Amino acid sequence: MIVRENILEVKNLKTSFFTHLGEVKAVRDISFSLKRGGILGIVGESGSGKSVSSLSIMRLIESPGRIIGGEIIFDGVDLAKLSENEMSDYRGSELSMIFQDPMTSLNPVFTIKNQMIEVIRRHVRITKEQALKEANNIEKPEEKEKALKRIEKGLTRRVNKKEALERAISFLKLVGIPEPETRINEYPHQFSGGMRQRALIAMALSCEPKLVIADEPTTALDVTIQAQILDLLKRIKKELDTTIIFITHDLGVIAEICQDVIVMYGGMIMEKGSVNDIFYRPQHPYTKGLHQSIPKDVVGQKSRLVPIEGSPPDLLNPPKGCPFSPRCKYAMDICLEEAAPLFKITDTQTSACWLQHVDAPDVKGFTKSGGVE
Amino acid sequence: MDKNKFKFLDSEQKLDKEQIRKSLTYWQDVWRRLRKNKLAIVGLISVVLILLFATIGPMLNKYTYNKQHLDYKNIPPRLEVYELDEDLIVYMSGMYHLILVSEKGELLQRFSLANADRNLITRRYTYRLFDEEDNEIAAVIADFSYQTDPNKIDEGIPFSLTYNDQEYKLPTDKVWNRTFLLGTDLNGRDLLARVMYGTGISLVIAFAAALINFFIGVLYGSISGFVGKTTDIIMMRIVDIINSIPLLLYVILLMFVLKESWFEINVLNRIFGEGGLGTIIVTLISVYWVGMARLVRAQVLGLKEQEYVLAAKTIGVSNYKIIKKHLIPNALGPIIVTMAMMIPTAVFTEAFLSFIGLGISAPKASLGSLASDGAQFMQTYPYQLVVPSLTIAFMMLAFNFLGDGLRDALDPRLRKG
Amino acid sequence: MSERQVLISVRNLKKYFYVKRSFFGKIQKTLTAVDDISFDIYKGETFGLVGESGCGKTSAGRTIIGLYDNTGGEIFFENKLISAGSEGFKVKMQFLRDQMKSELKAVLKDNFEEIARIKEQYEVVIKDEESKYHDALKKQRNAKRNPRDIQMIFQDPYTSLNPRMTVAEIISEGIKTHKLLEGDQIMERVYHLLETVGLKREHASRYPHEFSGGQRQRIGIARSLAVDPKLIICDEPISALDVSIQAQVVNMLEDLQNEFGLTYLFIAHDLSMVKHISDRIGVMYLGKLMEIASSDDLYDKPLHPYTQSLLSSIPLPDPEANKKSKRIKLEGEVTSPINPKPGCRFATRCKYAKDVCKTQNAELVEVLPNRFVSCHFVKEINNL
Repeated sequence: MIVRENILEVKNLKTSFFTHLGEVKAVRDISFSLKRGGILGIVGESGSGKSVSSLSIMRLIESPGRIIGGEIIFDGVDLAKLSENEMSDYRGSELSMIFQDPMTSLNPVFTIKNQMIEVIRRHVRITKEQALKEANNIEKPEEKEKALKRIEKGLTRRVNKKEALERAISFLKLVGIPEPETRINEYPHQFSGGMRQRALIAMALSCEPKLVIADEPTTALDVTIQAQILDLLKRIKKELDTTIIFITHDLGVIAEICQDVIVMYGGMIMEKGSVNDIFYRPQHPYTKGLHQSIPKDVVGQKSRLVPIEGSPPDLLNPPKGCPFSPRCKYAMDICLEEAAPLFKITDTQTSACWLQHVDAPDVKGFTKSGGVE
Repeated sequence: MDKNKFKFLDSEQKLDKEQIRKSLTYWQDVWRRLRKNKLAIVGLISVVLILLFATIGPMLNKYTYNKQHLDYKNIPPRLEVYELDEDLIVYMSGMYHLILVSEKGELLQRFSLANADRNLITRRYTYRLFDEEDNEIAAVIADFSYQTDPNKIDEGIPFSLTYNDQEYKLPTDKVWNRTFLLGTDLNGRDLLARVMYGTGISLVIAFAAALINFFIGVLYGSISGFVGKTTDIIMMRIVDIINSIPLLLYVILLMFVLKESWFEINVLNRIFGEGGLGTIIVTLISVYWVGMARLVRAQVLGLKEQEYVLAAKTIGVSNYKIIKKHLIPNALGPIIVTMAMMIPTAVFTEAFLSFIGLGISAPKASLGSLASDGAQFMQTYPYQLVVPSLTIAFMMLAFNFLGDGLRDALDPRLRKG
Repeated sequence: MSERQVLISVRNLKKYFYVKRSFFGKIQKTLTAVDDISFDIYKGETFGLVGESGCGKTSAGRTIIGLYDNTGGEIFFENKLISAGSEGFKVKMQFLRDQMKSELKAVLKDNFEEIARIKEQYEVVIKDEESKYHDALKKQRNAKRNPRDIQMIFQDPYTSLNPRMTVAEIISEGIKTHKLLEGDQIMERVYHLLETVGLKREHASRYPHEFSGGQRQRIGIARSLAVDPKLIICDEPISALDVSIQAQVVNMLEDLQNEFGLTYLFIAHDLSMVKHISDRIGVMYLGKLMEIASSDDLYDKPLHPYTQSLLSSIPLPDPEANKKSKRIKLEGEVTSPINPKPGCRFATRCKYAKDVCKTQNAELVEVLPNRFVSCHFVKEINNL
């Protein structure tokens, strides 16, 4: 397998919300990297920081929230340092987002056509070849000179309405909406839930971004529709070589579609690894706890779920040390004082648990680490 | 790494598992949001001041609202005085009464003017000042020929005052009236006291109307919204019909009918006293309850489908209890805002009615009737119109700011977790 | 299992919503939320009701508990009738009358024979409906429902508790309404219930917004336990909770069932959780029951094509298994429950659909012991 370069490197990202009750530390120092063409799953419950992380990457955090630290290196550029204007050039064209609720993510008073064309015309420009062809058809020599010079610099014109429409229809076709030429003129309320989500995906892909972040895109959908959407995303990744970040709380979906997984809790990363690592060789007590609390009944046996006791942490006053320590069976003195760093388990897997430390007691199911990531 | 730190904790050492987030109660949250709104706080403070003005004010004031001081009719709050001598500062009122004024502006005594002292030919009137034993202390001659004599008109003054052979053509000073801070009306009644009283009356009317509207509107609206179907349709059509009549017209007609009627004399005046207070409250109620009813119905319709209401139904709670304990308490926000906004409307409507003579009448006085009385003298004694009008405006602004602030503060969408 | 008593029996239950009436009240669109379903729930068991959005499971739950009046069909609790639906007959009569009128309009005015024939034909049917209507009315008059018997746990922990009432007031409302206890005994019972659901006595004086989602759901459970119900309808009680909290609540529900001998109707769309907690499961689609079986049987070998594709769509928390599994793809979308066409509701998306499926509805038939399926070709599809 060709080793591909990292398209996204997040380093020590921190995001907080400054409310009248105090500072809500939503994301507390996370770091991860994502290879081009991969599908990364971020799994976590409410308050884990998974949504806020993705919104931070897209620079969609609004007051009273703010990114207070870290770098977001996308294709060599630190997104955290861009101005709002520069970032809006990136959004839609380089990286785009699919949101959870298709009912409210589409503007109900505009047609699908309207909304898609708006996005396409904002970002998509005609190719150099096409621009050259057009330039060669210009009669006046001075104008031709000027046009060719501009093409040299890389400035081609934005697509016009007709071109944008064609492009929009082709993407609707790609996501499997029947009769896209006529349906594109409809309003969101005339589409069913699954279709709306497909239309959203088409919109997110229409400028052929390098990275697509999908934030719980199937949570609001029926299981059979979810299966269709997951298949669609797999197909699109293959055809367009898009990199996808898939955020969800559903472990089944993660197992179905993701190649690599990050497990988040209380604003921090608990464990990272390939999908097989996380499902067959989990190292972190939280990950293990999650596995035990979902039903995996074998036919004929009735087993009892083993829940994780306690409730998710209060991000206004997160516990000192590891955020999971109040609920962890294996909590030790050090867990209350200091959050564990991400210990390296294998080339692909890291886990932030003190049990991985050399000096920790031996517990079945937890391997000791060679070193810190 | 301290190896000792790698010891397992026993369960007491772990932090409290179920952290209960102590957050603000509903009303604390509302208050916090209201506090932030500067305009609303201005409104709130103003309302408090108005209430104090109307309730405690009369106790602090020297004069009552209906005591007549016949010597001092139509005296404005700001006096242009003539200092004729040390200790002899005088003021000439618009009714051509000459008043002795202190240095600070207090009204001390009125000069007498005998018929014999009026020389209608020369237009020179001699005003005389007497002490308690009827000894003459001073005599001042006012020359009004400046208004009629063609040679003197050009000087542009209404009169001159002569004392000890010195003629004064122009006022020497301007002082604030320290006896009657806002002046007096044509019967010599203290305008400040009357404005305080009028404010009180206006407030009583407005609060009574708002309160009774609350009960009627809530009752009507909650039944209509809760029962629904045909009942709702009929009840709302009645509301529509009442609403389609121009309210002000309706109010005027009602006042017209009720005034001097049997109902007023035998029922309302017995309960509320003379002067038409009851009549106007009844009129306001019979028209404005509609807004509250509509609002409550809308709230009930929305809240009816909330899961906690369904839960109450499954438990078997009676409809009456559901309305009382589940629906109304959760609808209080918009209800309070509506009541707060009803007050300025009531104040204005009452003022308007009294102004055109259909509202409060003697012996009582309201801001509207005061304005009406003052309007007669708009040209000559403008303060008698300006003061009550400004008071009305101030009251309405204050309640509007407060109401707006309450609306934002009570908005459930802004409330987080 | 020792001799099983039927606790609640649902027969031909219908709940239609009449949306869109003309100005004169003529019904133009009917939403067939629950369309003739029948099943029994035995004492002490957990019966799961699953289906996707629009299948009518929530409406079924609410009709059974009496929040909605049933349009047709009957509900028996401990063998006594608690609800008989009559509205459906009345609407059908109106509908038939309208149909007769329109048919008569199409006939020439002097064709007395035809007119008489049409009239006679319709009179018979209308009379039939009318007698059924009066029958149902009479039954309904004699039916008695005791609100304490059936209670409900709601889905959204954030809207199922009155934000202006304290926890104590919420839990004790049922006790006070039915005058079960007096004075101090009420608060004692409230404290006891709080501890039963894993909360503390101090929580009684707090308000709902001070609690997390999982805790609020526990309060809701305590509220429904307060009146000693026999059947609890759980309407998606865990969908709004985090995964790690869901397990806590599910375990608690199971424990409560053992301790108090409760019977559950568990309505949900999370199929793996339903399988875990239920003894038997009913699968609904567009208002009809497609299949009823024990949860083991259903997951091991689903017989109805819808159930088969539904179960195959669930992504398992097991990457290798997912790769190996063959998904039965369902094309298209769920059709509308408004003014449905005749025939099997699933026909438009079923790959085995034949002509008869599009015209005739299949009855729920016991094809194997304790396995009920409504499909014309169930035997052929599964090689039975």
